[in-house]
Amino acid sequence: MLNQLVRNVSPEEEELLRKREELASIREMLAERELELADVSGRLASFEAHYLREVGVLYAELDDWNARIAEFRAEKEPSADANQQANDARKQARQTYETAHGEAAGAKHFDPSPDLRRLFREVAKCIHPDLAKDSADQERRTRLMAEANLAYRAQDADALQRILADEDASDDLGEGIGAELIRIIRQISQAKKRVSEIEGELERLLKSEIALLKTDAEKAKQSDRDLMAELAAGVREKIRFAKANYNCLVSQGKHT
Amino acid sequence: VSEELERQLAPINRRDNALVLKDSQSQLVARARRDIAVFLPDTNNPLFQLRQQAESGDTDAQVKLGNQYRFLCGWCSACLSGKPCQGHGPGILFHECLREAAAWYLKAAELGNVDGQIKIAHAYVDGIGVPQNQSEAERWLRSAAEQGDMWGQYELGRAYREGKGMPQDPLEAIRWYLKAADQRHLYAMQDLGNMYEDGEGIPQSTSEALRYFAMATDDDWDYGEWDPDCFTGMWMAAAEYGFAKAQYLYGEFLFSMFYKHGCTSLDPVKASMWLSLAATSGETRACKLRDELAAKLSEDQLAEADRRVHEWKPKT
Repeated sequence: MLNQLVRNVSPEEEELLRKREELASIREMLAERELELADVSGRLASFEAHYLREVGVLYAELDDWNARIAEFRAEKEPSADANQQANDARKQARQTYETAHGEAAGAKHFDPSPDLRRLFREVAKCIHPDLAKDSADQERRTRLMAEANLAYRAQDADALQRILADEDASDDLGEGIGAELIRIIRQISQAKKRVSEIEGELERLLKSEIALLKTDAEKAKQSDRDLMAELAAGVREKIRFAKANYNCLVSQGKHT
Repeated sequence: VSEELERQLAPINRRDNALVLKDSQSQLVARARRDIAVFLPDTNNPLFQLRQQAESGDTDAQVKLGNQYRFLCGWCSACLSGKPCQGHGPGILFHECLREAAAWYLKAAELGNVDGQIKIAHAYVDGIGVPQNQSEAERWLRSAAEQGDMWGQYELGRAYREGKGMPQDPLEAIRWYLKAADQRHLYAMQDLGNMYEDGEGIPQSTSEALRYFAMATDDDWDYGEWDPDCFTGMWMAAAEYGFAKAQYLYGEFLFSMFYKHGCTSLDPVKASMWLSLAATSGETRACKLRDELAAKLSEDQLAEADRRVHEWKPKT
């Protein structure tokens, strides 16, 4: 009996079983890494919004005063150099304003619950574009994955549930052993590629200015300091001095 | 896996999953990171330690932190855009580092630190980091001088002499210089000598000038704490009047500039002349140096030096 059973499992079938297992574990890992990337992105976006609202807007104000000083000078003592400085200063002020008051400043506080994280991991496992069966399927999944990321960033569990409910998780396509083997090998290779891509993304994010600033803020917090508040106070002080400079220039202008 | 399949399955656009910061966003964040360089609670960060001391009310640390901002900035947006934060160009207006420096000087000044008072006064005189304000400049210099500090007295005297921060007033200048000179302030003595020599707003008096030049070239001074380069003008003037010590010091200065610092535009014959004159007047240190120099000079140069020594007459 046993011999017969063993004989019935062909080398292809054996390989298929092994590959199915490999795919399953890689699917887990991929979902885990996608979750990590989404978490890091969400936390950084939320920190950035906090920074822009607390400090960025003050830099915008400071740059506006600096631009006014430059413009006043260019008006009083026009020269190519003074005009250039005034233009540069105004351009800088506009850019800072747009950045500080832009879309990024609107990100909500990000603190996903364990349930939400579990749900996202499920969704990623189920709809991941790199586990698509064919290119049409992949396109659809890519869109879904982007939606899932947005929903997760917005901490919208309902939206994630809906994506999951609409998805047919079955892998059984009724294809032959050979076809399935080729598909699984392809899926594994795609998934591996994505994992290393995610690693690159994570590395890039952790080296970004915003991540470094966040690390600084966390370090400061350990010694009971609020770096954002200190930074804001520092910029306010700078604004005070810039204003004084400007007012002084203007009043000097009146007396001469 | 065939290349065709790979192409078909090429990721469409995955970047939207991860956070991407625009350049302008990164710049704005980078700016904060530069600004917090002095806040970072890192014991390896000397600026942080200095700032902590400054914040706890240590006025010396406040002045030092001001100096850091004033001279070592490099991270404020104006410095980064290439505008030098020293000198007086129009770009100086945009330097956040200079404003910050002035703020720390002012803090120290308000707590009675003489150095801080002098620094903030100078900032007010030139409008560096603070709007130009002559009356504030005068107020702080006076406060530094009236505390009895010789540097405060010297700086107030200098301000009166140059008319910086207040109306020019040579008599007031002399009054404050004298107080500083009483405390052995060498620059004050030198300035007094110069003022009398040139009759700067006061009757010219060679004897008074020489009195102060003599005071400032006294052997008992340790030049270690003063910058000798600041005295070369005085040495030259006093040497002309026949002051042996000044002749030696000026000759020694010319000698070392020519041979040790490679200032070949200076005249070694002149050095030889001053050293010979000083040696004849009994300045023993000059003898050794004169002989050392003689070994380096040509016959012609020595003859020329000799000729000049014989022709030399003290100024009266």
